[in-house]
Amino acid sequence: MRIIAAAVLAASVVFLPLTATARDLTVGLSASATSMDPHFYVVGPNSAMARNIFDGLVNQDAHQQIQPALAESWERLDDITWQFKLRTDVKFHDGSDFTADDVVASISRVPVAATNSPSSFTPYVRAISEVIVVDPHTIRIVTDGPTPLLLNNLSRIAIIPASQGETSTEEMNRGNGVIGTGPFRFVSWTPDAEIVLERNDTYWAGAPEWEKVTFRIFSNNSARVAAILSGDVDLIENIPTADTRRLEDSTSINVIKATGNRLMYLHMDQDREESPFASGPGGENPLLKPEVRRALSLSINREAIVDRVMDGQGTPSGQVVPEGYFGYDAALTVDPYDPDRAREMLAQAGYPDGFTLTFHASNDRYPNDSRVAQALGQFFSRIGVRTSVETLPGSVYFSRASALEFSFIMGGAAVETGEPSGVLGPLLETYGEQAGQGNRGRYSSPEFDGILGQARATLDDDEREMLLKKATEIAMGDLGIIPLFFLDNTWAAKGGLTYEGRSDGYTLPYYVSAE
Amino acid sequence: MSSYLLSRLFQTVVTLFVMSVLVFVGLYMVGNPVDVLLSPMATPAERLEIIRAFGLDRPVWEQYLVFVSNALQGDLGNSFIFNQPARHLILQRLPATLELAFTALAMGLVLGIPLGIWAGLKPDSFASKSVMAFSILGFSLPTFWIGLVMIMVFSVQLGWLPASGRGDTVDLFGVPVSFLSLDGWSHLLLPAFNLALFKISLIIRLTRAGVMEVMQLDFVRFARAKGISEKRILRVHVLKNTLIPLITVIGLELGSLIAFAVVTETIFAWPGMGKLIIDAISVLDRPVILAYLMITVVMFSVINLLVDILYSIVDPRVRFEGGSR
Repeated sequence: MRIIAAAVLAASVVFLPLTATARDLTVGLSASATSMDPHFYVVGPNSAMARNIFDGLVNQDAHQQIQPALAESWERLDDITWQFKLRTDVKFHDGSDFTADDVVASISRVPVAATNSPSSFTPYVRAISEVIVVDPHTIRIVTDGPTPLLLNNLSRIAIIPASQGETSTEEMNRGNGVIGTGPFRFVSWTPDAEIVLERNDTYWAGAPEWEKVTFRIFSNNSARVAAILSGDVDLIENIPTADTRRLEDSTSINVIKATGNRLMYLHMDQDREESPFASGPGGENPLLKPEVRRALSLSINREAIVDRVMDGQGTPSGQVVPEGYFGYDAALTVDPYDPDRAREMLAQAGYPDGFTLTFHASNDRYPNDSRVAQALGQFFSRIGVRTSVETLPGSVYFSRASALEFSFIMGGAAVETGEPSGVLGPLLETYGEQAGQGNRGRYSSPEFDGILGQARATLDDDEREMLLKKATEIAMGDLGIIPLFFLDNTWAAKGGLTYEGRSDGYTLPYYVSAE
Repeated sequence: MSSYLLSRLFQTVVTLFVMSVLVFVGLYMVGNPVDVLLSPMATPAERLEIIRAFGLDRPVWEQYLVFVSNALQGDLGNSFIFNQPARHLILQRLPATLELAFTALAMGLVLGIPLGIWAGLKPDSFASKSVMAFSILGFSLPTFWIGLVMIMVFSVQLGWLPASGRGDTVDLFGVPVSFLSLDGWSHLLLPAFNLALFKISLIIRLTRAGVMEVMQLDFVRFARAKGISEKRILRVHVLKNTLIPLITVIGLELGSLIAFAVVTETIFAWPGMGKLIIDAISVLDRPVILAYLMITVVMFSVINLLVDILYSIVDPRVRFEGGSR
């Protein structure tokens, strides 16, 4: 016994320099992943957590642009066939080698994991008609038509070992088979409370700096801030706006900000002659007139809202993607704050005395949503639109909004594809069986639909970007939605820690480094 | 006794039934969870498929019958967002909530009763007046605000105690608990005190009133006249008579401790079931909401029953006869 103890002691002395540099990281998250199955539920916290444990064939970088990951290169053989060259030096956490079979198994598992999923990954693999293994490190993906967003879609699909291709979501939630190629391996998960990961020493992009990472969930804003202030955690995400300035003033804490991909926008009833909550003197729906929509947009002081209500955590917008994204159009400027011009336009549209409007918004879904709504209501009132604001909990609001019970609503849409079609499609395309499912204003423009459809089928990047810009221009010209601002993503880190802010808001410890 | 228990059991079943109907209809009217959960990229076909998978396409009475028949077999449904049995999710967190509630209750008793007796015996002293002033504060300040102030003072400024979480847990009969380790206690102290504050104040006031009232009664005067020591009068005669109303109130309050733990759990990121229910409500995760309320009703009923039994031990005049007390 004594000999063993001595041996352990000797070993620990030998390894001391190594363990002394290894450090643990504790992260305070604002929302919990709801499953450890990376193919179960498309929702921010789950996708962010999956990125720590898994990789895709390609990954999205901090600006949501595509970067090689498990696939080191790719080429298009024809309009519908893509060939990927896979990395040869990658091992899964269980020690097995990563090969083409694992890609096939991961893509085929998506529909399996969709059972009982509130929002599954099937939309991302819908276009894939066949996956062909050419050799263990080459794979061909055939789509049912030209699919320019294939790489984007693939970046959402976590690659798991083929041996786990049949593992159920329940099994993974119990912690069995949560095996990826990512920078950290899974250790334990207590839903809504704690997730523990440890370093993958053989990570193909270089081992992470952190030996062990513990994520703790603080859904309450004040609790999250208190946790970083008291030193319970090293890093938090989503700083509540009211605390931003205070944390910025603190010398022991670094505040990190990045323009986010979530656009706050207004949807207006654009297909009913009479609308339940907007009526002119004759009872008609004034929102049908483009001049009225423009007047409303001009009445909003976006800078003031971002500065006063959001405490600086936002970026005013005149389109659907932030700067730096594919399809961003510098020519589409933010509508200026011009109440005089707005009043003039209202008068020209036949409403010199304004009209009555009830504006609906959620009050617990987006940061400060009810306060933003109140501010907007006041801006509208200033140009003579008699506005009352009604805010509702998200659980009630969204079902009623989908049922078109409102006339004028506020929403937030995340640009998850890194380019405009991911927002243009759901929010502005003519509502129908296959399109415009989030189009709660029922904006409809055949010209816009045509160009967007064309863009979706165009593989050439330059031409597609041009088409997307054109589609955006049409929709913004008609004000199918009124864009307000992009929410900023924020993090607060203990002094000495740095993190590159991400537009998708993910908190990824692999990219947290000590100075 | 057994007929009494049977009638109590019947009462509980009726309560559960009424509760489940109310909650079910309420949730049904609030909105469709699919609208909150589904991504806008999904096609109507996918939407319909999910609605079918969750059983939301059926009429409300049919959904209810399915729920009841499953519940009778111990299955309270799968959480929409966790895809795990709701019962399992809640029971996994129950120990943390109970530990917090019972620690708070213990604090209430240990601090509240002695302070209350003291304040009752010497109502005019300065110390007793200070105790009463403290109890007014404990009553009137909102729990969440005190919790935040406590974090700011003890965790952020002084750095004495951690601001969140449960710390190291030790397994006691397979259940993780915090109160057996020093680290656990350092985590437990603030949230438990935060939760207990209101109870301490309440118990102080009740005890004080009871003691002051009983001290005036004839049997205490008589005992004094007999020459019995003040200590014995206090312990045997005064305390016992003060305890009777106190037990009823404490029993009821234990229920509210578990329910109010929601606020404290949220502020201190305590991994109990209160945190779960808040999140479940915001995404309309019906099975979790239902299961939580069902389990809470059962817990309340059991606590009430225990209180009644305890009551009869302290006051032998109380007998169990049929359904009446």
